[in-house]
Amino acid sequence: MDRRSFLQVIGTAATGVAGSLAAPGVSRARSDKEEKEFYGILVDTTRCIGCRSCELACAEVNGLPLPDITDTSVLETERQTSETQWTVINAYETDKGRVYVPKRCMHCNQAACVSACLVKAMEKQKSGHVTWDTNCMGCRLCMVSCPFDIPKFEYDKSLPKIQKCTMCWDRFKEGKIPGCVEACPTEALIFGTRRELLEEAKRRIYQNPGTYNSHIYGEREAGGTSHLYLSSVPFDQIGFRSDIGNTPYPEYSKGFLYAVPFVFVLWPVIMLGMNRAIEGKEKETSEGHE
Amino acid sequence: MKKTPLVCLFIVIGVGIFVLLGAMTELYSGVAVNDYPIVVTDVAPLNTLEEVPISFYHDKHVRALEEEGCESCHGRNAEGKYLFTYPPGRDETSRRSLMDAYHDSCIGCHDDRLAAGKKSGPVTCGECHVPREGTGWMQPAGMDYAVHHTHEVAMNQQCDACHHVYNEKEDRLEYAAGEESSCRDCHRDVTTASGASFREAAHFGCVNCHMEGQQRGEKSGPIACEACHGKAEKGPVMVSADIPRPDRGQPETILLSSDDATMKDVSFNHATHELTTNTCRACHHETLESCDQCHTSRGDPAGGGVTLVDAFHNKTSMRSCVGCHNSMKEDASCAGCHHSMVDASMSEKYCSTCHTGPVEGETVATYMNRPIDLSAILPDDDIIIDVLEDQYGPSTVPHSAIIRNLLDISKGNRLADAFHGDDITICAGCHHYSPPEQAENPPLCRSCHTIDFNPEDLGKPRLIAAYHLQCMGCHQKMGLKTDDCTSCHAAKGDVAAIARKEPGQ
Repeated sequence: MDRRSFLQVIGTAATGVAGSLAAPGVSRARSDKEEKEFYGILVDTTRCIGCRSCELACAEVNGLPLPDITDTSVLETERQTSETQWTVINAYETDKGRVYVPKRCMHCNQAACVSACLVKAMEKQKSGHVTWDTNCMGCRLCMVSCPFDIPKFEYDKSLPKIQKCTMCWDRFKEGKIPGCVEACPTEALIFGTRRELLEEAKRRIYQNPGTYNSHIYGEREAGGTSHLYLSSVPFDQIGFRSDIGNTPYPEYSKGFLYAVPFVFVLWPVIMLGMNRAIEGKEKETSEGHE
Repeated sequence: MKKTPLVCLFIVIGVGIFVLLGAMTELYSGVAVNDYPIVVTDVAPLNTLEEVPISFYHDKHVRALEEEGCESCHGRNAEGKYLFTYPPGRDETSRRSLMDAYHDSCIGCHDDRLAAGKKSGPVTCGECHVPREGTGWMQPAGMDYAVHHTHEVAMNQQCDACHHVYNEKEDRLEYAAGEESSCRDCHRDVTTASGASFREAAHFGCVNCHMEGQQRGEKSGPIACEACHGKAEKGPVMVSADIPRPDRGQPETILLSSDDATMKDVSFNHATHELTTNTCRACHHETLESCDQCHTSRGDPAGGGVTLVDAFHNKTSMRSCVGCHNSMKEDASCAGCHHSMVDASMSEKYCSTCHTGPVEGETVATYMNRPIDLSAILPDDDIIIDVLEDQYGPSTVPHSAIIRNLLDISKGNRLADAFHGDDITICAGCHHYSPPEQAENPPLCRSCHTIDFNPEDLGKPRLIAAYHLQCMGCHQKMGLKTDDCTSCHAAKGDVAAIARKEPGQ
């Protein structure tokens, strides 16, 4: 047994033990689904009360600077996520009154950032989490490619990282649910497999047709995302882009990228072949002239 | 301080001038005017307009043409009554003919007045065909019970002044007592064989009558647009001594029955339902016929294919019993409990609320059933929720005060009296899904709602969420305050400081 496989075995065992100790419910539910289904978070904006508990919990579990959540003045302006705030709550004035919307990484099924990354530092885990690793070379293509403008770069650090929500990947490995879901006092956020979340979202829409807009944002957007949103108003009223389309972003570049190797391999061969074919004739004609 | 009397004097003079000017304007104009434009929409043959629809300033024209009179634009019939078809030479045979009729009439007049050196209007395309502000003021005019009663009194109960039927044989209008219907019954959206369009008939009938009254110097109705079109239709008019129920010989109570029915008949109190509507049309469409005239048990084209059962039970139509009753749950005093409730339809008790068979006298009160005296089972003490106490202190729930408040709201409401059945129903507002036999001793919230998040039951919120959703949901729907955490549970010291504790401490 080499060092690599040894560590793998130890790691798996440790994760399993930690998982079963930490949250038996989660790990039991997970055992048969793990590595087969994407996990996700369903955000029900009709339940969100804008208390910012998720922002605080996010900062706590990820070791980020703790925000002062009693300060509600920050809700006056629309905020973006930053390298120190992986989730932010924005307030929108809509047809149905004030709506609070938590904004964070959508964890796309086929993530643009993962496909754009040259060194596989961005990775889509089998459980659906989109994570970042330290082999990043700092090209920031992930930031350019993201349709939701989520990955953020630590410009003021000497060894900068790309920072964004990981859907608490480290906690997931310990068998825990994401910090924001645990902290939410109204269960506006729930954590589960993407399939079960979609079922729950649709159940809520069917049972309360007057309450919900019958669109689940993230079901099809950009090929589907692990973060799903429910709303009482059309999504363009609460800061969501409606121009994203249902095509997974990697699909746009796939055709071109797959063609590149063929161009590099076949083009020299064709040119060489043509060169060879013409070479003889050119010699003949030049010899003939002489 | 010396200046004070002087300032006061100036103010008094200023106000005086202002009032005087206002009064003069009113006198000068003769009729009440507004300068809000009317969007010209009766151009059906031009269904796709190339230009922006005209925003027409009717009252500006009234003022400008005061000398010339209404004849400048409106034709008159043989009896001298004004016609409301515009332009007078309206020709709807083609797009071109209708467009020309409008252009000839409007631009022609403007041109003539310009030539005569009078004050005139625009003559180029872009001056009329422009979008204008303030076109949204216009509401469809309608006659609710109160307006109808005003006319009954003014016309000295002469129904034939307005109501008529068309005698086809003799080609004339005549009054048929007891067959009075809604104007819209014959006068539909467009002019047909059964009558002129509602738009035309209403203006012809109402405005001419009002004008003639004014000319005779009698107390009469208004002729300015905004008097009828200016305000939205009012809410339900409670029929009182001032506004008696419109009498068309309708019965007080009706036994709704059908030969095909398998359910018991419904004893329907027509009189009490009149209290909750402001027009007969609210339920009867335009016809004022009984429901089963058009809604047959198999569905009939005359009833839009809607069967009799659906006509009474459709959940979304405001003309059906169930649809209208359901909409009442959205009222702030009802929505607090009802917003989170599972739809109660299809239960035996739900159906039997209306399907009682023949009932003598007051329909609702007869089967009201109040067997339970809540005071016997109500805990008088406040309930203290401290199971999740952490950053905030315990929350005190004024249990009996809440119930008494809900009972007060419910008892004043006839619909609630009928459907709540008994007082214990109130408990289900919070204690949802409790088994009926457990009604007097319902399970605790935490019997079902677990303290930790349960990923295997995503539809059931955990305890903290259940409390917040239930309490705050009801408060929001009832328009009560929800924005401050400490109004329910006191913060233990500085919440921000507690929240900032290091993880794991």
